[in-house]
Amino acid sequence: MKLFSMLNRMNRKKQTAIFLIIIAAAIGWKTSPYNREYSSPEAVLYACEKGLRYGPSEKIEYVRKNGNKAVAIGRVKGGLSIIPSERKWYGRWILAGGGIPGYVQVENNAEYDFGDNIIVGVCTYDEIKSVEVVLGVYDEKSDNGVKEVEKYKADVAQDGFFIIENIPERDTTDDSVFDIHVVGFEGFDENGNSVYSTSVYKTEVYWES
Amino acid sequence: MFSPEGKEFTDKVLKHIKFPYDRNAVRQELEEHMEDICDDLTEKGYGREEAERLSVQYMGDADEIGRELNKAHNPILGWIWYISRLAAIIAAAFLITTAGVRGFSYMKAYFGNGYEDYKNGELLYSADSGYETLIYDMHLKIDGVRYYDDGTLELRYKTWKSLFSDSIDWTFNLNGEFLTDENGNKYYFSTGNSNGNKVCHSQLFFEDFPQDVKTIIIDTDVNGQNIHCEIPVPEVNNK
Repeated sequence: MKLFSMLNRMNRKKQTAIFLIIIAAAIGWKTSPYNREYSSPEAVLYACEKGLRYGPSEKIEYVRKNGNKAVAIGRVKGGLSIIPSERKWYGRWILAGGGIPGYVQVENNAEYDFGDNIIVGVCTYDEIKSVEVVLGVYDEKSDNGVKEVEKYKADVAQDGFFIIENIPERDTTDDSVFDIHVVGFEGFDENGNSVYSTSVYKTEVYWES
Repeated sequence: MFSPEGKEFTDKVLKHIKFPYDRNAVRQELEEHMEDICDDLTEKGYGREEAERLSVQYMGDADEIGRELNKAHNPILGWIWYISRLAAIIAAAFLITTAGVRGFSYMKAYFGNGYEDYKNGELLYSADSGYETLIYDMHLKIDGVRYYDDGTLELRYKTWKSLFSDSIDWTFNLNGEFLTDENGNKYYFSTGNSNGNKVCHSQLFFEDFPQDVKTIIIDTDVNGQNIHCEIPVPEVNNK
């Protein structure tokens, strides 16, 4: 009560200043990391890594903003950290709803993750200088159960990172709509020789020398 | 209570006050002032009606006073003050509610018993651990174990973050081969549950757990951080 009577005795300018401080505090709290709202997709990535108890990423490899959606990809412990986020109408970023890839560990010389119209990956085998990703749909009529839709190539950066953008997520070539999957993945050396490959219809990841 | 001249005077002044929420206060102030003058004049021997008329005259030019008062009661500042006051009330209510709800839920979850009672067996022994560690910004406290006569061992632990944690919340689960005994035998839990609260209480149940185990060892690695805790089983309960 004493506080209120003090406030009432103040002139209007001082009262307004105090009101603005209270408003700023509330907005600050509401939009702060303490309330799980962040300044950028990168900040969401770091906060998510901390919450999932890995990282932090040694560096941010890639950030793609697409309207109110974004994905930030960090490099962590030889693998990747992939965290999607979305922007609120007032510009703050939060973790995107649904599942997240999180930490993608590289166990077999190369690993990739596919989603949000991109394929990202990392090769820990130094010989791999470029990769080819085969996209396809499951097809019972095909011999191996998959039908290839398209192939994409990408160069591998010195640190092993690669990214392929603008990937379709659904195949609409026939009348029906099918989800697209990665059905083949191949790594090439600088001479274009295949040195590594894996596919969904081969149960084992194998080497080619 | 005032003469028609007095009311006319105040109305004329108030027409100049652009910030409507101050008009009542200004009216009250003017009327009180005129009342004071009127009282003075009455004390000096003037009749009531004459005193009221003169008090209005003594007030001066209504338009000039109105303009001056409008400057003093700046409508722009007035509106800023008025809107900011409303917003501040909402903001203060939000802050108080948020702090209250968070604080209360933490206190309730931390001090309350967030564990569910095991219903399939009678308790044979329980042993506290007291082990507590910090993994990134998450506190992990292994409360202890409870052993039941149907051969089930229950492990109880809780996790929480500070009120000012800035990381995104994800539940934490102890997984894999993390529980052994003093002879190195490994045990795997068959069921478990977590209440998912801010202070998250988790229970894991290990069926067919031998009764003669002397020490329960929890040892695991969370992204490079070792969790190691040894819980001696009370001797009396091994009989």
